Amino acid sequence: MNAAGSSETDFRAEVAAWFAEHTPRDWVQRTRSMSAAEYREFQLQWLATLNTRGYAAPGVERKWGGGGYPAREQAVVYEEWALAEAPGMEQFVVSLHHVPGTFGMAGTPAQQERYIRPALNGEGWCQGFSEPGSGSDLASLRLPATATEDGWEASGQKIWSSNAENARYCLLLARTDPESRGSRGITYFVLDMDQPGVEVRPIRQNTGYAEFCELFLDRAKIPAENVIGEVGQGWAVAQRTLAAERGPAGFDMIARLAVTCRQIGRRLDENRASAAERRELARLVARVALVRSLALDAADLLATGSDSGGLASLLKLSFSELLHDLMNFATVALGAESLIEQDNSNWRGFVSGDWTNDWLGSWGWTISAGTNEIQRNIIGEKLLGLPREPKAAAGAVR
Amino acid sequence: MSVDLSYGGLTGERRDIAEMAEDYLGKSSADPMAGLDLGWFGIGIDEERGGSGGTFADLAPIIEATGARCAATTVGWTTGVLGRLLVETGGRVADEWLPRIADGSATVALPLADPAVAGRTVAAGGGLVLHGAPDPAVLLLPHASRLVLVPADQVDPRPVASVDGSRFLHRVEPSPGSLEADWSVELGGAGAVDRLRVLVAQVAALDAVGATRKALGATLDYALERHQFGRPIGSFQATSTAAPPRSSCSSWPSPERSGPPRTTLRASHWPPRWRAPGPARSSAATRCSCTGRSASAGRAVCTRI
Repeated sequence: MNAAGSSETDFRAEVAAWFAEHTPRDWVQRTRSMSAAEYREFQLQWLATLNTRGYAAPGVERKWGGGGYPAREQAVVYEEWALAEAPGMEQFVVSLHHVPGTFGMAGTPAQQERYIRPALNGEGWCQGFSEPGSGSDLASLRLPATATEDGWEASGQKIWSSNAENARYCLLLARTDPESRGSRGITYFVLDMDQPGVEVRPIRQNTGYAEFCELFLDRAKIPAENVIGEVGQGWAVAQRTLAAERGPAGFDMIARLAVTCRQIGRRLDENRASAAERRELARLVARVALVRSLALDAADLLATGSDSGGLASLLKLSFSELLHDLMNFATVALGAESLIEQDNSNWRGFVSGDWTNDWLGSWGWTISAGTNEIQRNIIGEKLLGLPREPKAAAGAVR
Repeated sequence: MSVDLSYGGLTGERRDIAEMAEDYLGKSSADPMAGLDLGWFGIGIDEERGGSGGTFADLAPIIEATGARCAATTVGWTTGVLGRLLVETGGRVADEWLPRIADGSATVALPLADPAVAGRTVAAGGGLVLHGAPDPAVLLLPHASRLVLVPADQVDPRPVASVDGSRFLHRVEPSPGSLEADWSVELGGAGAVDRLRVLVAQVAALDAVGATRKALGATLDYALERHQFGRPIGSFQATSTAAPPRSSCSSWPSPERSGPPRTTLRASHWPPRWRAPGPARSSAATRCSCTGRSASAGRAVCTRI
């Protein structure tokens, strides 16, 4: 039951009706020819529309501009959003999820006041975690921040920072204790991107889209009040940020797979699909339902304050492998048609209907948010209770 | 540590051809007619019809090299599929078109879809996406249970943008009438659609093997070069056991193409229901040499020895 006392079914019908009424008409066709600036403006307008009901960030408290919905209702919002085939919020993922997730748990009241509501209203944020030599092994990050009279200075390189080109601020992890190793001695900062010491270079991906960026910091200034949490304790805060990636927003992505199955089915029908192709699509639809069920379990656990631990890893692994298998199926079943490049430079690589680019993008999901190899390790150790992988000597090549 | 992934099963001469082809295509990967000056488009076509002689088996290592280099050359589809079908059909149509294939004036586009399904689509008045040359002279189209060769200008194929810069696509909506007109020539009789399925699958498989071999090499290099947790990621079992079966695509610097710079996918999209209708045919071992030069064309040729 929600706060108004209606059942989940009523709530779902209410949300579905809202999206049916407010989803911009013909937005797929209209946005294809937009410039990057026009598309960003389109996203901001859609964000403002979503915020009238708290749907852009349904799990964030209302006092900060979110919807304040409980976990199950957040899932409903995200699912109906996707099932309406309404525009996503891909340029504001960090603003809507990572920022409230981080400051809500670890920020000072002043930081919460300053950053959360503007982020939900479209202030751009990016994440500065990974470095060229530190991806899966994030705790090996080396970018140093040194203390100055009035704060800190950071120099070095970050990579795989989504939408950094449009970001006003960056959630930055830096090593503040040069003698430290591993997860100790890391501090979490708010980095103001609008300063001479910050350079952003977009990385063009194999889809042709340049979502990811490299960040180059050259004595970038960070005021003392921009430390999140305690100096040297950034690793623990970072876990809050990473947990924000695993919240109910995943229901949007899972429901978009269901929509994609529907779209593939329509195309196969037009192409006179074989019985084998129909069976394979049915198997994939069943897997979508299974992943959704897993996500509901994970959301219920999170709602009780439990660490979903290995279950979150199982969910990430299942989702990314399903996405990849679905895109494999689409490109093979649709043949040469799947190779046709659509006129769309603003969004592609994930359920855009540009099948081969979506197939290319599906590989990225096996790497991002913790590689699938890392997730298998976690599942083996946390869920199955298997012994840890034996450590080989550093530099060893078998 | 190095792994030799190149052409382990080939005889010495064909290994030389393959290595020469890969080296050559490394410098001309964006040219859809790459190999014309070396006589590749005439391989398997007898010299009386302007060809370079040899057999289509001699073309196999070259097609594999096109995959390894993500090359745009259409020699596989034009000579490896259409040329082979014409040689097997013989007669006037072969006399007319084989010299044009050998001299590069006739290239082809054909459907990637299962030809039987494509035939039903065309017979019902539907459209097809074709794959092959950027400016094909002829189209090879299944029509119901038959296979017809149609001059491209009679059915107006429209170019469409391709994600894979090394593959050229056209959309065509031929009317059944246009495929039954005088300008359309039936190839190969009743079994032609099945034969097309086999020939396309062979060319696609060779191309995919080349691309996969290159991708596997790149994967192994990266698994040794990329370090995490203080050691190469290839030393972790999860990576070392996963690498070989997953290296089935390739991505490295693309040939010239319009639009923003990006890497090229070497796409191999083949419906899983494609199966050879009968037992595989084994070809007799053939040896060839590519060192000769045709007096008429002044180009290197591969000849049977």
